[in-house]
Amino acid sequence: MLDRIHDIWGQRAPYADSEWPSRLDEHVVEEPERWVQSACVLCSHGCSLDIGVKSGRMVAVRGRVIDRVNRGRLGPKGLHGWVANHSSDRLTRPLVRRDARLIETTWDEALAEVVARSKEVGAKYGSGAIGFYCSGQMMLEEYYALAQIARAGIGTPHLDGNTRLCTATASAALIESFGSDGSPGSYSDYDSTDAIFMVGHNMAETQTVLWSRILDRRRGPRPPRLIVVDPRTTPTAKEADLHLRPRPGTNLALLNGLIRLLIENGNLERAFIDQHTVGFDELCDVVGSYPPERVEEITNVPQALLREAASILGNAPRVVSSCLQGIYQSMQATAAAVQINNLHLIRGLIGKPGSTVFQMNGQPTAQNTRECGADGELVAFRNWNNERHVEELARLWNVEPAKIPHWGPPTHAMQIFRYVETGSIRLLWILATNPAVSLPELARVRSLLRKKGLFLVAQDAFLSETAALADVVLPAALWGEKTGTFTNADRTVHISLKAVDPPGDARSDLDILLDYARRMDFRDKDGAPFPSFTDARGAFESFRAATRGRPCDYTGISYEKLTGGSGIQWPCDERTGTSRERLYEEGIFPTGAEECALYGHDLETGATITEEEYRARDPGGRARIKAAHWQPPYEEPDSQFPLWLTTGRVVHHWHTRTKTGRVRALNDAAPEAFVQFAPEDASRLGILDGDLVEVESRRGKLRLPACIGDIAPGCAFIPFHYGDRAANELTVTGWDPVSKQPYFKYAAVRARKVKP
Amino acid sequence: MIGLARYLALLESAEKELSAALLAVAERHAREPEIWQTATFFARWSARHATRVKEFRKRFGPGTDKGSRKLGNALFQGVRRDGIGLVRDLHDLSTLAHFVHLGWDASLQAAKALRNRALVDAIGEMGAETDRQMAWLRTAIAAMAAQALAVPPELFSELVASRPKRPSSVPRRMIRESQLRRWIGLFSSVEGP
Repeated sequence: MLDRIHDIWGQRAPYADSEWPSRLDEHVVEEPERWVQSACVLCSHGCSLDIGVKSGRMVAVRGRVIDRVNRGRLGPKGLHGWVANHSSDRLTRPLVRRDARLIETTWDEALAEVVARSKEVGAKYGSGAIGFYCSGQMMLEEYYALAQIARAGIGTPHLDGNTRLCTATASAALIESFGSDGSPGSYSDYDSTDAIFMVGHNMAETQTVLWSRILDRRRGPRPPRLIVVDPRTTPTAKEADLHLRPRPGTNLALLNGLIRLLIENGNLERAFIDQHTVGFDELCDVVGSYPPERVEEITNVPQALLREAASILGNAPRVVSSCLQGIYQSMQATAAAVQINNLHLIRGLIGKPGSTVFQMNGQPTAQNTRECGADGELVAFRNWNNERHVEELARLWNVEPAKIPHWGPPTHAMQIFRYVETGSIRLLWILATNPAVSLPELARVRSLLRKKGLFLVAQDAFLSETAALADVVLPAALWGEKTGTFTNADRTVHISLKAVDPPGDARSDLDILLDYARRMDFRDKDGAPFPSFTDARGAFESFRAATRGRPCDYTGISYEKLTGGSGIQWPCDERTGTSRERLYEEGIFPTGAEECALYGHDLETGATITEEEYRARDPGGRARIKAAHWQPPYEEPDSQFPLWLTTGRVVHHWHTRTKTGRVRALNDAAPEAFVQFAPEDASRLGILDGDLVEVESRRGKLRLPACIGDIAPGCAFIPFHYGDRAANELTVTGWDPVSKQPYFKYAAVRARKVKP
Repeated sequence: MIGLARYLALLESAEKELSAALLAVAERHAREPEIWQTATFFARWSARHATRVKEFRKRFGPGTDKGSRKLGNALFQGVRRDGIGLVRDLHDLSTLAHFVHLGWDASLQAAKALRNRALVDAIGEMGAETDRQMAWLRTAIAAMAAQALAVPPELFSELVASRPKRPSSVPRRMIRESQLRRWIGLFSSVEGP
C-alpha cells in the first residue's frame, strides 16, 4: 500500500503543455463490495474519489482517474480521513442539558425544545435575537436550506459561516476587482504557465494534490519559475526559485512595491488597461510612494529580491498567482488580495490559458457557503443593497421582499459573537464548526458561549469543545453518510453520494434543518410550507433555479450529469449545456451596477460605496483597479512582547482535528502542537529543539515543545489545530475592515524556557 | 484680517475636536475592535488636518472661533454604553465630521476666490478624507442601528460586555496619552469630550 502519510506528494510525473498525467491513489483496508462516487472534503482542492463499501461500512477510498481536478490522485488526509467516520465516540443520539449535564434524548424532545425556544425568543425579542453560525464543510443543499430558513423563515440577518475565518477575503477581493465572487481561472492553467506566484500560500501542505501538479510541471520540460512569499521556510518555499520573507503585517507594502516596479519597468498591457479596467491612475498614485528602499525598510525584504520578483512577474508571458491565509488572515487582507488581482489586470493576464489569479479557498465547500448566501451575500452572489436583486430572490422563494433582511449588511461572524456577548442574540445555532477552538482570543469565546441567558444549539458529529457547552446537541451525519454536492476553488462541482448509513440516530444536516422548518411551520406568502423542498435533490433544483442568469449559473448541471463522469465547472447554463473553463475571456466583468454582487468598499476604511456613488461611476463591465496605502498592524512586538506570533496549518491535520485527530495514521504523524523559532531567537532564549517553552501574549499563555529552524528571525509559529493547547489562546480580536476576516497571522508574544 | 482666517481657525479647532472625540469613542468602545481600529486611525487623519490647516491659518493673520468647542461640548452627553450608546456616539461623530465638511466647503470657495492654489489643493485633499470619515460613520451606523434599536437589550450582559476596560487585544501603549498628544500635535485648548 502506498504511504501518502510520509511520501505526501507521491511519485513525479513530469509534463508540460499537455494534460496532467493520471495516477491512481487508493487506500483499501478490505476489498469493497461496491464503489460509491464522492469527493474529498479535507481541503478546497476538491479531489474526486470513490468510497469502497463492504457490509454497510466504508472500507476503502480511491481517486477518480476520470476527474479533471485530481486525475486519480489523493493526499494524506483524503486517503485516511474517512476512518474518522468509524470513531467510537460519534454522536448517535440527540443530547439535552438537564441539571448542568448533557443527557441522551429523542429527536422529538430535542427539536421540540429548540422550536419552543426559537418561538419564545422570536416572540419576545424579535428575529434579531436569533443567530446561526455554520461552516465550510456542509453541502450546497444544506447551506441553501439554511439560508432559506434563516433569511426568510426566521428572517434574521445573523447568519454566517466559519468561511469568515478562512475565505471571506477571497470573496471580498474577487467582488471588489471583478464585481462577482468566483475564481476566474482553472487548475489547468498550471499546465502551461511560465511563472507561479504564491503569496502567503503554503500549498505543499494545504492543497497537496495541486502541489503535486506543480511539482510535476517543475520536473518536466520548460518548468515554470516559482516565487513564494512567506515568513516561514515552508516546504513550498523550499521549492521556490525566489523566496521573499516579509515581516508579518506588511504584505500590502510589499505588493505595492512590486506593482510599482512593474509599472516603472513598463510591464503593462496598455490596451487591456484602457479597454477593460478603471482606476489605473489611482493605482499609480498609491504605489508611487513605495520605492524599493522604503519597501525594504517596512518589510525587511531586500531590494534586490523584490526587483528580481518584479522582473520575473513582469516578463513571464503567462503567470498564475494564488494567495491564501498569509494574506487573508493578516493586516489589510482585502487590499492586499486586490493588489494581486491588479498584477493580472495591468498585465492583461486573466481569462487566458496559463494566466489567472486564484483567490484560493481553504475549506472544501466554502465556495457553496458563499454561493448559497449562508454568509455575507445573498443567494447566487446577489447584492443585498440592490433592491431588484432582493425582489428577484423574494419572487423565487415566494416570500415578501421585506421578509429577507436587507436593511444593512448580513452580520459577519465576529459581530454575531459580539451580539452574543452583549446579550442581544439569545439563541445561537452552531452547525459543523468548532468556534471554541478556531476563533481568536479563546478565553473570551469560551466565556461568551457559556453565558447565562444564551440558548446554544450545536449540530455536529462529535462532542467538540463547542458542543460540550451547548444546551442541545444534534447528532449529524458525516460525509459519505448523505448525498449532496459541493464546489471547489476552481468552480468544479462534484456530487457525493450516500455510501453508508449514519450511526445510531444521527441525521444529515439537511434533514435536521428541514425537520426544524416543518416544526416551526414556516410558510411562503401563499401559505405553502417553506422551504418547498423535502430532500437534497429538491434543494439542488431550487438552488439551480435561483442561479439562472447569475455569474454562478448552475442551470446546466444536474445530479445525473454529475454522476459517473468528471466534476463540472460552473457557469454551465441549460441553453448550451456546456461549462466555461475560464471566466472573463473577453475581458468583460460583471461590474455593472445592475449585475455586481456588491457596490464595494473603501479598502482602507471599510466604508461602503453607496448605490448612487457607484452608479455615478458605473464601471459597466470593466474590472475595477483599486489600491490602498499600507498601515502598520494594530499590535507590534515591543520590549515586553518582543516576538511576532503567526499561526497556521500542518499537512496531516484539518481545522480543529475533529476528524483528523481521530485517525491514527494522521495523528501519529503530527500528534501535538509545537512552537517554531528561528535559530537566532532560540539561542538568545537558551531554547533547544524539543525544550518545553511558555509562550505568552496579552491574551493568554501556552506551554509547547520547541522546534527550531525554517522561520524568519523575530517570528514564532504555532499550528492552530490543537484544542488542548490552542494557538488562539494568544491571538488578537480584530479583523479586516472590508472582508471582516479576523487576524490570525500577527500578534506580539514573548517566550521562555520552562521545566517540564 | 479676512474672514478666511476665522474659518481656518474654526476648522483647526473642529479637527482637533473631532480627533479627540474619535479617540474618546475608540476607548469607550474598545471592545468593538472595528470601532477601535478605525476610530484611532481616523483620529490621526484629523490631527494631521489640524496641523496642516494651522499652517495656512497663520498666513492669513490671527483668527479664532469657539464654535466647534461649544459644539463638541454639547455632543457626547448621557449614557453611552454598548449598542445604542455606540450608535449615539457614531451619530455625534458624524455631526462633528459634517461640521468639518461644511467648513471645507466654505473655505474652498474663499481659497478659489483668492486664487490660492496651494490652499485649494490642500482643502481638496483634506476634504476628501473628511468625506471618507463620514462614509465610514454612515456605514458603521447602518451596520449596527437595527440591532441596537430594534432588539431589546439584555441589560446585565450589556453592562458586563461594555465595561470600560480596554480589551486585552489592545496593547496599552497604543493609546497612551503621549502617543495621543503626538498625533494631535498638543491640542492645548481641547481636553476631549
